[in-house]
Amino acid sequence: MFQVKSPRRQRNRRTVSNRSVARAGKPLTGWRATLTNVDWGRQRINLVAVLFLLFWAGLWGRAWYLQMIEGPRLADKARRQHMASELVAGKRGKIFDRNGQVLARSVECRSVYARPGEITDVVRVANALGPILEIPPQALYEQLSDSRRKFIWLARKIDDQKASEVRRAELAGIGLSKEYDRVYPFKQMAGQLLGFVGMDDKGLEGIERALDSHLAGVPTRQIVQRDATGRRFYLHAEGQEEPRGKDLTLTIDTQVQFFAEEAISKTVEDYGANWGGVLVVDVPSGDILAWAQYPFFNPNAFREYSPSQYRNRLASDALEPGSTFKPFLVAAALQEKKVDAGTLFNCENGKWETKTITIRDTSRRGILPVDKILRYSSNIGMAKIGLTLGARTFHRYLSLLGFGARTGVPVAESKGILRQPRDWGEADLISTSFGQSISVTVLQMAQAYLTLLNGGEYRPLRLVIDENANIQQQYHRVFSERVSRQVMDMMRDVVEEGDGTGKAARISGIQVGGKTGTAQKADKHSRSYGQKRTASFVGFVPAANPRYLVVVFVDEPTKSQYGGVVAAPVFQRVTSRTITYKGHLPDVVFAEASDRAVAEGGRRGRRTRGLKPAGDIRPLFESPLTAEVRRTVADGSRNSVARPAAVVPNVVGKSVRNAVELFARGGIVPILKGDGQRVVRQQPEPGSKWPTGEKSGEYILWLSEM
Amino acid sequence: MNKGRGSTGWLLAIALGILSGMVMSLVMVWCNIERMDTNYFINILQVDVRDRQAHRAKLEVEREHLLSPYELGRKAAAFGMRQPRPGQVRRMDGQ
Repeated sequence: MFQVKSPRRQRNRRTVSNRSVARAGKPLTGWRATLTNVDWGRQRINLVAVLFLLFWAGLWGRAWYLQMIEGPRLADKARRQHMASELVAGKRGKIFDRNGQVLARSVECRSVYARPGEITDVVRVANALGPILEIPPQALYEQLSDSRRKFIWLARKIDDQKASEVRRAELAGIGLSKEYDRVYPFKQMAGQLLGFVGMDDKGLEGIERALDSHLAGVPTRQIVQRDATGRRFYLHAEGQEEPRGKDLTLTIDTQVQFFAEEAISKTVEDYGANWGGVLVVDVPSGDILAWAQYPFFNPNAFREYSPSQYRNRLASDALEPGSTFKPFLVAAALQEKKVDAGTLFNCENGKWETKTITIRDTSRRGILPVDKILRYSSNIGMAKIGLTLGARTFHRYLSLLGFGARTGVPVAESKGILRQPRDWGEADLISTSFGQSISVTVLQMAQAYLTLLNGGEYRPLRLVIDENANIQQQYHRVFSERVSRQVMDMMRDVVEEGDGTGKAARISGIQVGGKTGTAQKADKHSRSYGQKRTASFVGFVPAANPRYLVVVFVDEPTKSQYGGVVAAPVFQRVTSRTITYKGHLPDVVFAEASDRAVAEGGRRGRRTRGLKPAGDIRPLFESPLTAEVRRTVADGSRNSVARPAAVVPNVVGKSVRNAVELFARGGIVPILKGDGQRVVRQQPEPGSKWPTGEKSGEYILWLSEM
Repeated sequence: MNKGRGSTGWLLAIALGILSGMVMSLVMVWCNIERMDTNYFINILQVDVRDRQAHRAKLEVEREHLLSPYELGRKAAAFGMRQPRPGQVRRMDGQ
């Protein structure tokens, strides 16, 4: 490369030349002299330099060739090998109840796919995969032999065990893909309300369908890089986070839902009904606490059910409501001052023939005031009130109550049938007055009753808790508070008076209001009313200041058809359990002790510690602590089920909490006397046998004074 | 003499420059490989974390199922418990 002429080199050259001359004895001539004069050391260095240069030039040339000439093609090839464009749907949002219980969630699962072009031994793959996926190998073989297809799903959303077996089999051309499976941990609970999603995670029914855009993540196309084993990896932060749907919190309370489902399922079975449904509404807020429908539907296995089983009938089936519709007519007539509670109507001894229609009552009554017409549920009396009010006015009130329109609850719902008043003849007005010739959904009934119980002001039902919603919004008033109060009083008499039709709905210790209904069902074939009935009951507690509204519909009961017999007990069971669960039920047994505790607590100016009977010390209908209780149970921190002692344990000296727990294990809730923290005396004595019946009155614990 | 020393210095500087350039190129390549390698293993760990989270979600489903009112009702019945009547519900407070 560079010739360096240093004095030392020149000296060396001269020395070598002299030596050559000396060895030969004479000076060399020609090519020999030329060869002899070559500086071989320098030539070797030059050779190495040239080789090095060639090597570097080759490397740089190759690099240049790969980058500039072959670069785009190779990059494209690499991209195709490692990068894939995938449409990522992401994880669907969860659905919670009002206490944070998960009603629906998505869990990761695997699906098996095949790329037939990459399979070398189809027979082996079919034989290995068949038993794992429980598919006949022959069928698999036929699928995999179709080399025209580039991609085949072999099994979707398989369980972890199968996925692990497929992975272990290490079959060329067979892969596992991640998907999400929708799981409903409470199985059939609120099944028709929740609905279900299809194989591609798209909502197909119920809330899942109605709020699909909210729950589903926005599908995005992502470029993902995969290694040789198919694992995704990312060079940058983007793409690591999958799109995710938003969570949803319903107003449903799983515990109340459970009470409603248990009660309606028992009634539908006992009375051989077609189906039944219950709605429980929290009146002050309009929150729907329970939405129960029987026969049940388990969305985890939606393929096993028919559409008639998973249809949300409470919102989509329009039925003639029957007598539960009557309070609205009475309220409208009172509001228009066409009648008052004492206005008398002749109920014609149970049969009234007009020019167009003949009406019959179930009981023979003569002249009755309006309040008793409602209590005895006289169709004739109602027809006369309806005629007094007029079709146009009645229709206006029905529209204001929300009939003939969707309620706005985010489910697929029917508008029902409310014809225009110009289409109403006299017969229509008469029959609508007692709940026929009109079709409403159970949801619309709940909405209308909510307005009535809310002092006559319209308040929308709420199914989804939205933190951003404007709760201060003012709505239109339908009835005055006075009219609303009057009708509620009349409905209280329906249940609480001895001659009311809703006696089966009574709950001891609390006043109940309600209205029974037994509606004839139209027969499609004969185009008239047949023998089938819809039994219904709409009730509320407490009658004076409603907190809970419960609407019960039982379709085509066979063993008895009356709302007061079939549906009212459902209300009674659901409501009594709900108010007990919420801690609102007045306590008769412990009233005295609690009064004393309140007095003591007030005198000392501090909160009374220890056990308190439910409902008495707490103000009636304050917000419950149930969510906290559920959380404690979920944490498992205090949830232990222990076996009771064989005999009554000795609890003297123990803390009141410990003592009550020990008694509770034996199924006994003891009476507490005194309000200290320690047990000083007990009855019965330790070692006695546990009771066999339900009497616990003689189990008393005396507490220390401090 | 002076001219020869000057060119030797230049040559040395160029040789050193080339050498250091090569070394730095190698270091850069090595760093890139290390970066890819680390990133790859981080991704594997992330996949592992996700798998565990997915597994946890499945366990939570099972727990939720066990805590459902239906399941608790069955368990309670098995232990001989029954629904409380009026007067039997006590709320623990202040302890």
